[in-house]
Amino acid sequence: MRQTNKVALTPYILILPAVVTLLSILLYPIISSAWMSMLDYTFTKVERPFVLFENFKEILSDDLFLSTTWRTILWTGINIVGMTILGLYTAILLTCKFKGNFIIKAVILIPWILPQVVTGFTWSWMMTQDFGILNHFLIKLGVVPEGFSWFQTGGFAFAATIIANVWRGFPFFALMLYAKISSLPKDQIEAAKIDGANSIHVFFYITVAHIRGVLSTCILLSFLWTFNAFDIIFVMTNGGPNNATLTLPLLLQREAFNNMDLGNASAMALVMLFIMVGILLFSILVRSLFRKLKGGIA
Amino acid sequence: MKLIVMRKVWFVALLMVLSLSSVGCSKDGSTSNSSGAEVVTMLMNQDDLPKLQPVVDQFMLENPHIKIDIEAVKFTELDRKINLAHSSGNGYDIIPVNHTSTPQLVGGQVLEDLTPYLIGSSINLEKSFNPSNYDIANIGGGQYALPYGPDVRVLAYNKTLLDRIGAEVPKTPQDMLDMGPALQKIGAYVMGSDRKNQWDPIYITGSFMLSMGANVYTKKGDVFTATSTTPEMIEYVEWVKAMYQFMPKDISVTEDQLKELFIQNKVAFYIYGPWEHNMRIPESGVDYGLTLIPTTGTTSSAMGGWLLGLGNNGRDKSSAWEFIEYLYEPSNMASISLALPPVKEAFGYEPFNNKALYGIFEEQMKTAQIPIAPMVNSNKIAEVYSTYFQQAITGVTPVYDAMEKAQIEIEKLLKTE
Repeated sequence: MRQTNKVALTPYILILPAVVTLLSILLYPIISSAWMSMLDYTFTKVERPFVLFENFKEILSDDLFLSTTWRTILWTGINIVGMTILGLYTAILLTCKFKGNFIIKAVILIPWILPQVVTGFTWSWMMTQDFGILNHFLIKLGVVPEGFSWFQTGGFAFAATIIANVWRGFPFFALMLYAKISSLPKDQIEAAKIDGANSIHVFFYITVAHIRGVLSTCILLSFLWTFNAFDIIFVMTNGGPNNATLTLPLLLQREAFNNMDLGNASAMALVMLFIMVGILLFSILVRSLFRKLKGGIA
Repeated sequence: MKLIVMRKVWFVALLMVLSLSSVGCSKDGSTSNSSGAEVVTMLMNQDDLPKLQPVVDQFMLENPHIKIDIEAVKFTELDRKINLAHSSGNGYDIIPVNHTSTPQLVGGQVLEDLTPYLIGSSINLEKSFNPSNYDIANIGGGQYALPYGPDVRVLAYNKTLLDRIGAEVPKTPQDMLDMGPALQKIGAYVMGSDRKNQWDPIYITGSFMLSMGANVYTKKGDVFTATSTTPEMIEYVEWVKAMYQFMPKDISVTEDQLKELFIQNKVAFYIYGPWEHNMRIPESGVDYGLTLIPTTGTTSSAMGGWLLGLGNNGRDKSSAWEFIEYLYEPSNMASISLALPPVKEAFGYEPFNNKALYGIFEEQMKTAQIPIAPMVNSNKIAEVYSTYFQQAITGVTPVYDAMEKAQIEIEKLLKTE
């Protein structure tokens, strides 16, 4: 009996250091950030009085913060749609047997492993008005007029950052989905074809159904990475022109290290956290409702 | 049985590691290294390091009881590093201070008042420096930093391009604008700007702002007044808007790319600081000349630069001050200065005694100004001004409307402590 107790306690003691480390790494910054968000905490003052929700009131009544929040959600949404479509298309392409297939599989990961800063610089140079190779070809092909600039107006600058980020992120989707599609049993497809299903039916009812789990994991991870993306926009536009590419991580960084206002920056960080958790909970809710609805119909 | 013994051994080992690591985390208040020398920590702009290091080595050779420990980072990282180190109670002994950040660092008690150190010191404020250089760090009667790397910008012109269009060296901003169509015809730009940099319209392109008699705000006594809608300011922004037709449109263009375009004879004018003498343009072989900033009245230019201060919570201030006094010896100042030396006597030493290279900067310095008087919200004001400035020059908002909006917001920020 005594031996059983010992065995039961030992694993907990052994994992205790890891648990303590994890909790301190995960919880401490959140608690510290929450505390700072309730202080009038700037580097320019020695006193840091407790102001409760004043910082939240201030940022939530700031037009720049609100417009930046919507822009961040839009930026994240378009990026995820782009990565999903391009990633899925590439994954299907990789399943086709053609010469040089293995080379593509090997090099496709390059955009993903490149640091965001490198991607940002590469794309901004490629898109530069004067010596950008992409601009050169687009002008030669007559797609854009002579003297076209991606970075002069907000709309095109926003599109440019999305193109660069989708290029960086789609290989992750492609490889994950390719791995899943490769495990799809062939007999399912054959059975469906015997039952009269065409390629579109096979794609939507068998392939997509098979990869749904991996796809939602990819979307979830990309959502977190894209929502928090900083380097790529910082390098390409630094939020300009006229704040047209300003997203929350950039605004937060400006508030903390340009304006030295850690109170406001912490409040922004918490609002970002709430938005992300909110969107994730909403997507889980929609999914479970959808499942229930589907179950009900069935 | 063996398994149980192994588990016990691992468990004890784990506890020992944890205990040791917690001991390792405890803070050692000592400032001496293993050889017994006092350690002075210094944060520095990485660009300054190559010139600074030999002087530091020489100091340590002459003063073996002091070890200077330098951490060199990109200049854009300095303020963040300084504030974080100070907040964690582990501040640097010697701190480079961007003049625009001085009020914030004084307000946050990051900087030590140097007034007591200057009494009886070899550094004499009035004798050694220009008043405009050290006044920036004189706050509430205390002297919180010493001028370290003051700078002033002049205009570099590309001789090849000017010859091709048959133009003379410009005397007024209008002269530059008039060259626009001819330069555009041969596939070149008049000038460029780093539009991602919020300080560009104030410090770099902003040199023209001062030369046209405009200011973002002014300070009289302790009273700040926004001046973004004065006729001079409107004239300046209208001028940049007109110039914008003949400038690169990309917001992604960096100052380094502009420099390359100048070298490749694709940009006619480039705002040139004294530090450029050690950099790419002279090495490239491009045919260029330097002139004072074109003006509508009296030439002026943006004066800026760095200062050096002692950290309020540094650990060894007396050794740090000893080192600062050594640095401010004129010969040492001449050899470490990347821009212009702050110490007047340093102009008697190489390379600053070369009038052909540095005479123009001395001339421009006479009428140069700090574009915005440092105050706690300087950064925020620069951000606001830059946003409306960009809207105006790109035609998103009419010039006057944009400047009026800037005026209202800046006025509000000037009233906020």
